[in-house]
Amino acid sequence: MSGWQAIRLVAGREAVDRLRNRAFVFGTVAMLVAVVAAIVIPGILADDEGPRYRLGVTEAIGDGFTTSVQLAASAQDVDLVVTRLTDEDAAVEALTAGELDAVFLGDELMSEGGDVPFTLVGLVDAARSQTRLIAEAERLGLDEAEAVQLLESAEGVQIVDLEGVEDDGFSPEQALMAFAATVLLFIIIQINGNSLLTGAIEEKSSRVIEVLLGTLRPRHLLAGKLLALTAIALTQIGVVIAGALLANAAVGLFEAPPVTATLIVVTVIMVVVGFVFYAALYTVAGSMTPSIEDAQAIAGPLAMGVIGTYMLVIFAVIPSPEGTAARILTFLPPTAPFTVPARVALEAIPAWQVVTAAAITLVGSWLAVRLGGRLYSAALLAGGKLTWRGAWRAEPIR
Amino acid sequence: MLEILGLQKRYGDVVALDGASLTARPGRLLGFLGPNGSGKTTTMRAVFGLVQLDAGEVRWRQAAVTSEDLLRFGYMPEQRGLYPRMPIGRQLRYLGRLHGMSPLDAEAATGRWLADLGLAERAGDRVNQLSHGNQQRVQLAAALLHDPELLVLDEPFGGLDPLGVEAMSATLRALADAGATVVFSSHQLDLVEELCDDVVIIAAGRDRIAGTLAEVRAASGTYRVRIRLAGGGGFTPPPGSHLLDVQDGVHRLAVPGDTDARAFLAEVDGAVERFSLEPPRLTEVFRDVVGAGVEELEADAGVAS
Repeated sequence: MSGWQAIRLVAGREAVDRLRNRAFVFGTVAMLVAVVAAIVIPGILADDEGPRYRLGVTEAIGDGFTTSVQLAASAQDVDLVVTRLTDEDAAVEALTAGELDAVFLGDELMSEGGDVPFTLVGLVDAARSQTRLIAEAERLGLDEAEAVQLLESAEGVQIVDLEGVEDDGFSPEQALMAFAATVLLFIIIQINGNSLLTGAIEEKSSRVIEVLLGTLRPRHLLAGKLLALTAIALTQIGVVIAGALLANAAVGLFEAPPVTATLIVVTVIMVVVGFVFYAALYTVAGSMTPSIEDAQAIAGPLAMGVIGTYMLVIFAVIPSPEGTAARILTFLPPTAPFTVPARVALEAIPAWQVVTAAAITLVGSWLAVRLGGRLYSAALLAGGKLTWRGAWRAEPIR
Repeated sequence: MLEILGLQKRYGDVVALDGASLTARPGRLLGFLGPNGSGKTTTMRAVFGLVQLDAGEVRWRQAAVTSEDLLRFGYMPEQRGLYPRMPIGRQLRYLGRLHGMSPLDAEAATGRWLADLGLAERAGDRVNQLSHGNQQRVQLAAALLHDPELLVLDEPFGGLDPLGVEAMSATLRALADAGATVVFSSHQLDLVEELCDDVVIIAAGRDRIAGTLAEVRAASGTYRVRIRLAGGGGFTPPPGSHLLDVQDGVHRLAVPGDTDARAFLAEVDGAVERFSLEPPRLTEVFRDVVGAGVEELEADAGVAS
């Protein structure tokens, strides 16, 4: 039997073991439900909560105004319904009946009790000025299309901070996606890292390990586990991303930015090259003791590392994705899997950095697997509780 | 044939193996006997490459053990165990596959073994849903599923009740009779004495005596006399014999191996109520050869038996 056959057998067993594990299945379903709910619920509520105004205009008002006011409303995410009325009498009737919030008469905005929401006043004002400007421009000899173009050529203001540095210019959707990618990676690594930890403890505490080692080499056992759990992690990510995209398509919470496809590809690549780094070390931690409490203590530095990286990305990388911290974290194998997708989501990383980070992470993971293989092989048959140093000094078998 | 040649192993200052050797032949049951802490487990692990030896060699059929050889070995470690949450049928199939069986062969062997053990209906049960006795049987099945040519069992009788010991003995006997090479270890020399074809006695990491059961028994050069005079009276050992102990008037003596019973009794005054002249038990051989009893060595080493 070749090493590869042995690895495949182990990977098959590990994968089936996870898929039959209720806690694992419920955990994945819960993650999916949480993501879908996070998209669907605001999507539904948005229809009820967003401002919604009903504006009447009389026959005398031109189409230019109604078009302008609708555009202004949609730019501000305001749901505006414009109704044409025959004359002022009809306007009074509709306002009294409470069918309209206000009626635009050309120079006056009429309402019941003179009480018009600021937003609506602003929209009407802007549209009125714009209509007038276009009319004036036409009078001066421009045709309507030229006049509209003139108005639209004015760029929006550039936002800068105190030092005059430009705003990064990413949309709230991108920030949300950077945040979501980081949280997703954190959860995936934690869940599957812990699953490897407890799996290794189970093999040691149930003492099945020595039965397995009768034929299996420790490195094949480790490789099979890492292969299975990487596949599982990717499946979970696939399920969550697919759920999120479908839910978003269904309720239309936000328009996916163009960077979405790249982000998904980069996230998957970083999981493939980076998950193994943590996975190998979690497995070794589990092999160092038959007790779950001891294992948690042994894996403590590891868990702190994952949480610390997560915090760094949330508080240092996402707010300043092109800063020095972000650039350094991009090229360290333990932090790159979190940092790179966040920066990709914010479109704040050049392609060469993504490629270099993936390559460095791959090398880091390979070293972690080599080191993990040695420690694992030394720890498997050792009695009692080992420390990291003890596992390093212990003798590897086979 | 399995040959273990001059194994040396130190863990820091502790000498675990100090030249341990043994030879096991096809069709024979070899008892690898000695106190706890004498190096039995380390030696057996070395067969499977689970120890980095300082010196020495393990050979199977006159060559170093390869990965392919390991597939045809069966191992029941002292630290027994199976996956607690995995159904036993799937578990046996998995272990069969790990020993290089095809999916179909592993399936068939699993079915056969579970049927033999009366557990055919329970293939979907987890290990921890089985009784202790059934767990032991499944564990043995896990080591035997692939019909190994060499079977190595570390303390197979540990934790078994008398019925379990009998069943295990019968199974090992049957395997050896079918041509397998069987090596098992035990620190309970009396318990397994009758089962062994061949015996290797180990103490402090080194084999002290090896041979067929008869050879080993004869090796100490002494026999044992048990004698009780009518009324349980006192008794002077004849010249050349040596009084070991007296219990309820039964005197136990070590006598030269060539002692003739008739000649011995001629030296005894008075009516003899009970008399036996037998080769020494393995525990007695152990004491004669090593110079201390099994229990004493275990107590000295601070090892729980």
